[in-house]
Order: sequence, then structure tokens, then C-alpha cells
Amino acid sequence: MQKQFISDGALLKVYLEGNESALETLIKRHKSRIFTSIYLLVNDRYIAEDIFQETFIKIIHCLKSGKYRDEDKFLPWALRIARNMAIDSIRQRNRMPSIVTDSEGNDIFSYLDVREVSKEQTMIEKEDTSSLHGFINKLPAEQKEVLILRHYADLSFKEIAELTGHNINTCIGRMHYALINLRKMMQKSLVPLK
Amino acid sequence: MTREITNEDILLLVYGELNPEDKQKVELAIAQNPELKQYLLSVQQSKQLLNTISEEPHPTSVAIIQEFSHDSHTEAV
Repeated sequence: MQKQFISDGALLKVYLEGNESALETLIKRHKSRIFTSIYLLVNDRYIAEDIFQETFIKIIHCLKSGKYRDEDKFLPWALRIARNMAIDSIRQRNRMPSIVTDSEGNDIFSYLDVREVSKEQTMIEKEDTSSLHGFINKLPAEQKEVLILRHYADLSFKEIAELTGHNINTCIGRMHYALINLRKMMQKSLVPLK
Repeated sequence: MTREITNEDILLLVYGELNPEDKQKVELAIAQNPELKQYLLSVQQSKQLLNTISEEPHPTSVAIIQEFSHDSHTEAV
């Protein structure tokens, strides 16, 4: 017997009627796209886990308070929330001072033995820059965002244009250059391409 | 679509964003133009490579969300 596909809109309706398993189905259906997009945007697994949770908590709040009505566009809406949270997180991280001091002005990291962490971190960074993930991170921000939203989040160029506030042709052009730049980086590092 | 077919049209083709009529026009142009065909192949290869990245959230994250939903539902009742 063929399993019947239930649309996101129908699942949201059932969820609001009190069926918790409808949310489970929605998460299962979209978690990989949403999480991969967040992870590639923020480039930190722990931060990505936090943003993923916060995204769905916000979604639940909006749903239960009746603020969300466009049932057929659940994924673009969820990704809009995730993207905004990821951007806020990146801005926050960029605002953080590089040296944290205590009340007496001493570098607080001097109290901690960070030698092993640094060694491990260096190894991760080394590995990352030679991987596809590392290449994606090296793309100009605007190209990276379109690539993630089109390829991993599976949004159409029209949806990306609406989400980012840019012209659709600009978004297509950025995707074109993102792929060209990725290819160049891969060829330079001798990642085999057919 | 009456204008010349570009690389951007091929991107739309590879990502399944063309209507049947435009799709046919782009496919015809590719068949007649080796440069467009080469670009199509390179985009298809890149797409395949990009598909190798797929991340999943930790099951704990999903459990936290479900617990929050359950609790907020119970509170509402």
C-alpha cells in the first residue's frame, strides 16, 4: 500500500489541533535542510544546534499564537527565521572582543590551559580549508548565502530574492559565480573533478 | 523566452526552475552549442559534489523542541 503524502499545511493544521506527532513529522521532513543551511552559515556545530532549537521554538510560538497563516510556505518561512538567527549570531560573534579580561584587566584565557584546544582547533581548521565545507566558507558572503539557500535549503531563486531583498537575476548571478569560484578552489587544491 | 540562452538559464534548468516550454528551448540550445553543454556538465558535477554535504541536528536538539512543544501545549490546555 502506498503511503499518502501529507502536505506541510495539513500537518500544521493537525498540529494546532493538538496532535504532537504532526510536529515530529514536520521536523523529520525538514531538519536536514534547515540544519545543514544553519551549520554552513555559522560554521559551528554547537551554535548551529542552538539556532536550530531556537528556530523551532520560535516557530512553535508563532504557530500557537496564530501569527503564521501561510500554511503552504512552511519551509521558506522556517528558513527565513533560521537565516535571521544565523545572521544575528554571526554579528554577535563579530562584535565579541578578541581578548576577554577580568575585573583587573588580565586576559582570562591566561588562567586556562588552552594549548591542547588550540592544537586540535588548528588541525580542524587545516582539514576544513581543504574540504568542500572549507571552500564554501571561503566564498564571498553573498555568494555563499545564495549557494546555501538554493542548494541546501532548496529554495527557488524567486524565494531567495524575496528572502534576501535582492533582484532574482542578482541571486542567479551570485550562484553562477559561487559555482565558478568553488570549482577554481577545488582545481587549485587538486580535489578530483571528472 | 526569445533571447539568447545563457549560463544563468542552465542554472535554472539544473535546479528544475524552468517551465516545460523554456526547458525545451534551453535543452535545444545546449544540444547545438558545445560551450553551453560544457557549462551544463560542470554545474551537474558541482551539484553532485555539493550533495556530499548533509548535516543532521543531534537527536537531543529534536527532543528539546518536542518537549518544549508538548509543555507549551499542556500549559495552553
